[in-house]
Amino acid sequence: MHPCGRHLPPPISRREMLTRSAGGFGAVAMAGLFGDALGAGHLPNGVATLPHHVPRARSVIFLYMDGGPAQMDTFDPKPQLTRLHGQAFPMEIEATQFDNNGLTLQSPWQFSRHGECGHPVSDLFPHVATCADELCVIRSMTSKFSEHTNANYFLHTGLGLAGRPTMGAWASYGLGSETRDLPGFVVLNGGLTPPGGLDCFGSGFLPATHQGSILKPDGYGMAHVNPMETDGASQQRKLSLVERLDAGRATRNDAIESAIANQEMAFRMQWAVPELMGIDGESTLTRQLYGLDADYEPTKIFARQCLLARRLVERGVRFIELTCPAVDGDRWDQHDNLKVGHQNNARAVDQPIAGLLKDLKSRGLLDETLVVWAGEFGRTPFAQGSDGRDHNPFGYTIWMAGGGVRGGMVYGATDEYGYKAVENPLEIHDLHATMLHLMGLDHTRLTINVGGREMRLTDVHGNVIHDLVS
Amino acid sequence: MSTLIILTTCLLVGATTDGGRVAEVRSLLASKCYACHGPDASGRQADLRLDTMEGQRSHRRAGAPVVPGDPANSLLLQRITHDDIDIRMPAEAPPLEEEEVTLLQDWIEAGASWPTHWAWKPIDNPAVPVVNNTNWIRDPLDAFVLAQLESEELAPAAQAEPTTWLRRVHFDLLGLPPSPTIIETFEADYEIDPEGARERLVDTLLASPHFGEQWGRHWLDLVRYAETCGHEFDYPIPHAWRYRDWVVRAFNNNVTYDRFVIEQIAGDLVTSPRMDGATGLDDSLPGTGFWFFSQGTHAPVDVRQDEADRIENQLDVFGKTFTGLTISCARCHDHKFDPIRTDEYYALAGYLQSSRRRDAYLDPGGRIEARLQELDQARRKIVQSIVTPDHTRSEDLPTEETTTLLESFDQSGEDWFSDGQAFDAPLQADQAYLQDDMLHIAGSGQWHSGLRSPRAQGALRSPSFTIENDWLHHRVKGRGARIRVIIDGFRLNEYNPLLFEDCLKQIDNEDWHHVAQQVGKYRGHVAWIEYSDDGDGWIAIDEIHGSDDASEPSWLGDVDPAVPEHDAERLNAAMESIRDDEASLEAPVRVLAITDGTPEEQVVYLRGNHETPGPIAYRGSPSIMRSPTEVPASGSGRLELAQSLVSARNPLTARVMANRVWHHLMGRGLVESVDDFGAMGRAPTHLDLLDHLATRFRSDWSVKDLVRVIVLSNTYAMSSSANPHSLLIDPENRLLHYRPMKRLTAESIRDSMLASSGRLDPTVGGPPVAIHLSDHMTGRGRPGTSGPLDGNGRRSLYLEVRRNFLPPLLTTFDMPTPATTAGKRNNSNVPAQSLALMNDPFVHEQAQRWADRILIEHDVDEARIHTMFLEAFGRPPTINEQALALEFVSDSTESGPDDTRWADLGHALFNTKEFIYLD
Repeated sequence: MHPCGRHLPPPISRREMLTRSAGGFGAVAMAGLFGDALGAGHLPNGVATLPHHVPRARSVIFLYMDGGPAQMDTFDPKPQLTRLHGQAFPMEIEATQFDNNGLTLQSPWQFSRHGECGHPVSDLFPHVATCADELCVIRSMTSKFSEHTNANYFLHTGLGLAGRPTMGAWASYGLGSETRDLPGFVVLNGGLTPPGGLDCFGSGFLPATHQGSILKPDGYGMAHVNPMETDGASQQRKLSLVERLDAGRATRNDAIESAIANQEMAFRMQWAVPELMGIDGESTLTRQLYGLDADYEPTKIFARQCLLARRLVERGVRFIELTCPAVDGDRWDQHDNLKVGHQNNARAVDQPIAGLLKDLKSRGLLDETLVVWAGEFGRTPFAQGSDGRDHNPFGYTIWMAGGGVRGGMVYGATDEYGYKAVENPLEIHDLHATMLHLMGLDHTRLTINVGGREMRLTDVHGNVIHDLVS
Repeated sequence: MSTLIILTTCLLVGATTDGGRVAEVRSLLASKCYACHGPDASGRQADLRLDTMEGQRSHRRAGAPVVPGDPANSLLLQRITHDDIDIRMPAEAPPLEEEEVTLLQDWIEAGASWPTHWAWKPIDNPAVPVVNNTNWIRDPLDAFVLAQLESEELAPAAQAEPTTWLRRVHFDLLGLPPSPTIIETFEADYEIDPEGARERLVDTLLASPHFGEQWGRHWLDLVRYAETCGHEFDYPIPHAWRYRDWVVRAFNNNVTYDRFVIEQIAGDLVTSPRMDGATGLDDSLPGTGFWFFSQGTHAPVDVRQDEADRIENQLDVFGKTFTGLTISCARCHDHKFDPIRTDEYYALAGYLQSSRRRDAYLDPGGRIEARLQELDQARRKIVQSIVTPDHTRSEDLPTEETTTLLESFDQSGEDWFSDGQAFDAPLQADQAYLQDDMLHIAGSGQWHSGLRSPRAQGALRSPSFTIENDWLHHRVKGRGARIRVIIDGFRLNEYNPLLFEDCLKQIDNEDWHHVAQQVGKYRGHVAWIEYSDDGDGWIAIDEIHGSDDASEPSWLGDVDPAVPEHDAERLNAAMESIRDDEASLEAPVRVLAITDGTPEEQVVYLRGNHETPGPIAYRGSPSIMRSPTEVPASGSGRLELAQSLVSARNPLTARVMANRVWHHLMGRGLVESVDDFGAMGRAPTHLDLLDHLATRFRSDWSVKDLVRVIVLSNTYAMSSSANPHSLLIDPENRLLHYRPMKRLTAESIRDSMLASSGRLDPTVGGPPVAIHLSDHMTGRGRPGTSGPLDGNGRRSLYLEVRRNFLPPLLTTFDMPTPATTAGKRNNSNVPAQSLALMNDPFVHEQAQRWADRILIEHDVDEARIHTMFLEAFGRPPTINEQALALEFVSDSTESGPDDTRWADLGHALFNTKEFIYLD
């Protein structure tokens, strides 16, 4: 069997699984797929009939741009800022995180048009610019928070406080994983954990199986997948004793059977993860494409993350989120020294992202893989101090590619300074609704009953933005 | 097949009580219709309410939504089954399931009765039902269970084996496995007197200090207990663990539940606080830490929003924990499903606006105050002996009115709040006093924290005021003290000054000087000032002004009068005589607590937005609690609020707690949605039983008594193997025909490993053990050093609860994220759990320790295996298991030393399902 999960026999349908479950032990083998939906002895509401419609994307790769890249320095050119550079900012200024607002600040970068669509992209992203026709650029995203953590929780979970399930957990909850050897939601941690911590990847009130499994792009990758026994036989010997002791147990029910199946899956994961991590077999061309041997260490790290993301997609993992590697200086959070800080962060991710898009495309995977590039907010068009930009949730840019979105389009607009969204402003809830839609899920029907209330990723908000869908 | 089961189950539930069927209807209408046709007027469509009988039967153009006895003519039925999706209800949603339509149809057919929602009704004391099989009744509660089983002709499961019951009750009460000694003692005792043996065991367990740890942990899940604030830097919540220990102590001492509730809401206001016998500390106050385990961000751009979010979390936890009400749903609009209005939400918020967080200064046994009074007296005598009271009256200088005088303490300041021991009484003008061995004369009215002793600690807080100036000015002197302005209750600038740079000032200048604080950004916000002396220093405060620039105001009392001539040597000698007393003054114990501030009524924030203030919502409890609350003329009124929760008229508090206890012991609450007793919650499977338990519970509010009657009942003693016929009819066990298997909690799994290995340190209470940090635990706020892998052998309860660095082994096994009330944990069953048991270094380490101990304690392999099985599973090995284990440890293909093979056996036992599941 090919290690690529796509070549496995198609996953058993939930209806079929239910039938088997009602009939007796049949469901047990699927426990790894569906986690405790079975183990807990009940199916959460709504899940039995998923997906709700034909999905456009089977997997999502979420490129989380920690700290908030500046829209006017990346994908949303504002010549007006150049004209007014160094003058008092002409609009009324909302409260900012540092309350140290300076003068109008032009972008230090030049923009040029790329691709057939002619997307303007700044010099920060020479490689991504070559994929311009794949990008669906949204220039009118908004957030509700000016603080990193609230905005991060909001971006990830739809609520500005910790404790709710993150979007990857919802995807895993809704659709499960297509692989039996890997979890449905993987976070490739490049080194920078978002402000707000690992809670950004939590499963909240969803079953724990849906929480993001943290995978480091080097070493063993995941916690607990490396056997501590010095030789493989020793662990096998133990597990075979466990199996025999479990077999003798008087009470056998779904929970016990699931736990036994989980142990088998865990055993397999000890091989699946190293196999995933083993990228030595990748061709020289591929290595070059991603920038695995780049001069800049952070580029190498992110290249590895992007390559692993592709390998995870190939294996059928549902949702993959990438966090940024540490560069010299801070994450995309340039409260000062914008030029150097953004340059370094862009340098770390530009080539790997372009490599990922091209590699996915050449393998025919981009059509069914939704790639999302987003920070928790954008940055101000006026300076913080003299050469930084403060947080700006009032209008900023994200982009999507592949997985059923219209490449080469621009959606929405900010005002002439790039401060606030003025045309088709979107909320994070709309992003979530649209992402779920592309995955075949109706955000109003993907729910779980918590203490009597049907909870969903979009709470009571969110609209699918059909204009973005190809 | 599955449809049949669902229908049968509905039938069973429908047959149970009057609440049963109607409750199902109510849940259905609530979940499908109330969002547009429920209690919230703002979002109501077509002016139709379906949550009241009037609304259901109201006359519409085409008839009435509900015509009792006539489903065909009921508009409700017509609309939900309509073919045209534009007409069909619910709008823009999938149609109701067939069973749901049938449920409504049957309900209307049968007369569409619409009694008050079961949870709002007074607690009934239902008669104990008559049953056929009276032998099965060990406690009256069994009759309620058996009556329903008999009416459906279902047989309860057989009784569990005594050792199975022992392991079950031992874990349920203490969270720890029974030791071989306990097992052997119990078995011997059971041989002679089965009933007595059970009772004696339960009494022993109830008396164990570990009881409070197990039940305390359940409670901590409700109050989102954490020791840090999470968010970007995961700043600490100081003294949080004092609350944790208070909870453990309260369960161990069986503090009555009504008192337990009151002390968490208003332990600072109770008239006679409980004293902890061991420490002599006020043991009612630490319960109020309950309010303050919210998460927090360090530099909120909109601090009022931050406060509103914090209060929402506080009220969410308050409502769910004590009353099973989802009160915070009413923050932006009237509750969609339950009769809780928005103004009632803000009426509760007023209690918190009228209260303040503080780190209280507790005085062990009153010894600090007693010693200070001795010192006060001695100092008075010294002053009298060296000063003749005829020095010249100091002259107040006229002040130019460029600033607003906020406080001068001359003939005012009675509404200030003194906390701790240092701020005893204000100095009057011309009063002579001693400070640091020197004589001083106060030039004007002022507060001084060094009069009694520089070692005394305390805080002085102003009344709340609205900021109306750009600058606050203080005329102060002191050392090692602080001035803080607390704006909208925001305190996290303690750790990160961003946006609140001037709000916190350190005072280290012993001459009168000017301290200015720029607060103009917060004009219009409510604030208070806090002067604190938390060490061996002191602070004196003379005047506070407000103005719109930074320049020093003209102070009223500008100059201190000259100190009269006196014999410095005599003074020195006199001070020498009290030096020892002063040096041995104890430091107060700091505790996270609440206190009353200036009473404030909260206005309604329209649509939850603080920028659109609405009418005032006067403090009071929601009418649905059925226990109206008096608001006193002064103070926050929290005590009265707390008392209303446990008043005889409140139908919720006793039911909610009785249900929680049942949930923990039986694996599922009689009301499955333990934190929501409203319309969206699950209907009770046994309302009469719940009311029976609540009635008994309320008679003495004894949690231990309630636990005792349940665990000694026959219902609790049922086997985890169901009777096959009963299982077929009632697979969900809604009628309680068996006691289902449970997985151990995350904490118990870890604690059991420590118990098996012998590493368990049974110490109760104390500061938390630093969290062990793995490579995967990254992010800002990561502690500089990792805690020990095995947590020093302490129970999991004592591992540090850092929001951003929770213990992975515990979260993998469903320890909840501390965000809000989590009365019912997830019960997940995932590969990550197996991976942790297989490869976590902690698990390996404990297996090795276990082996080392067993090899020392026993010489014979059979005895070793026997003991290990007893310790792991609470039972000896079967013959087959013994053989398997023997074969395993003597496997000649396995090289390596003896102890490795025994550690491998221990590790294998940790990985068996029996180790983590409880029959």
